[in-house]
Amino acid sequence: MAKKLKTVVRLQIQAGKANPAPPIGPALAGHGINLMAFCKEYNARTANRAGEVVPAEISIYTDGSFTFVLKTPPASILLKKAAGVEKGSALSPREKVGKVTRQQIKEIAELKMKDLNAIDLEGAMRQIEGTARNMGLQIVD
Amino acid sequence: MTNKWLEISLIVDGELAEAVAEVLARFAPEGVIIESTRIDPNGSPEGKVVGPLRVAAYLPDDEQLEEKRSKLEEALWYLGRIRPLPHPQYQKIEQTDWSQAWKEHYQPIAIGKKLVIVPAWMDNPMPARIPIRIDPGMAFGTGTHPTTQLCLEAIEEIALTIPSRDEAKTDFTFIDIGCGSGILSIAALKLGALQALGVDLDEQAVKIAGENARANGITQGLELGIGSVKEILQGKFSLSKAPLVVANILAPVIIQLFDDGMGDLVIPDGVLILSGILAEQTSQVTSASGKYGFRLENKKIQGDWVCLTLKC
Repeated sequence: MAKKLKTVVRLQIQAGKANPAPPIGPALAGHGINLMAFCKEYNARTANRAGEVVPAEISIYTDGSFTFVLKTPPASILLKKAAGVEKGSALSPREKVGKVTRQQIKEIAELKMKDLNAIDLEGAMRQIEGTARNMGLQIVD
Repeated sequence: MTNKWLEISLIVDGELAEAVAEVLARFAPEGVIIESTRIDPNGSPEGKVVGPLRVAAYLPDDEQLEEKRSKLEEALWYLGRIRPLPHPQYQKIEQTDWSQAWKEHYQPIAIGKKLVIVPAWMDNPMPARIPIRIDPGMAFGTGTHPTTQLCLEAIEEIALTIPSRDEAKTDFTFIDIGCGSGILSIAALKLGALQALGVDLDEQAVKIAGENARANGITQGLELGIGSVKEILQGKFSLSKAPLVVANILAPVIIQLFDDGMGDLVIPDGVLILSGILAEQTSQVTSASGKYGFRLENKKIQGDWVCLTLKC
């Protein structure tokens, strides 16, 4: 019989830097997850990706066991890299901080397709475009 | 270092979650969490995330807190002009020894049909199952990791096909390469193996495996030693072959062990269980095993991890 999910927690954290302090401690300790074991494995599996935000999606089951998979970087990180900006606009939509092309949107959508809840590439592109606008990035052809 | 934190959280739909996480991450460089709020148990074999998501981050409660909080609220307000957002919820969090706090919420893990992993600080709540006493605070082989769980399930399946102890389990011996905490050897003995050999290159692991064996009431049938495949083949231990051999290590090490002669430890028609393999490494391992005459009998998957059962 398949295990039953209790919850799913996605941690958006720096590769190789997991430790029991917030956000990891409060996010996982309440579910009875062995924090040190998680941190050790996450850091080992992301050791060659220093400087990147590498999300970990942790599936926690009703029997107390858990497993996790590494995900593609958040769309916002990929968009900032594509636009060549350090951060999104604090005043979006009033303030535009940079531009991304539709081709870049498509490339990011293709990369993140497997992690997005989208039926097809067009749907994935619409999600990425929404994130871009929320960050104050202008989309150009 | 701060002793207090301010948790900021918002419950939003899936489309907004990443945009909100991006805003929070600007002020909380340690990271952001996105957590499901509801699981549909019938959504798929194991359940499916449905409904809104909770996005949260933690700001250190220091002299910059109010300034950060004000800027964060401003950024959320602007985001809310694109799509309406709920008000953020705030909660003060006291510094805790998180590396220990999880134990209060830990629950024993039932594995397969007969086993349950129970930490030292807890009574066995499932008396119908065979308890394996292992402290999950240790760094390896604790039974909380998918590779160990998959391995235990595979060992149990094989053990249950062997006639009961009262009949003829005299042929059921077991070799555990890279035994770590000794959990697999302990499980094999509790499932009826007459003799088990656990070897590890780490002297500390061998010592801990001995302590765990004693904590599990194993007083005979278990031999532990420093070494690996080569030392076993050199006859340094009482067992040099077995019908069930297990290696729960990492794929590159497993591939090397084939070249060291791991296949020679398995008797004809015997079983080799390999775990610690990431899904994308499976073909490399099956390719290496095929060169030494092993064929894939079963494959178990949990998350990114795969456990292979092979026969020769």
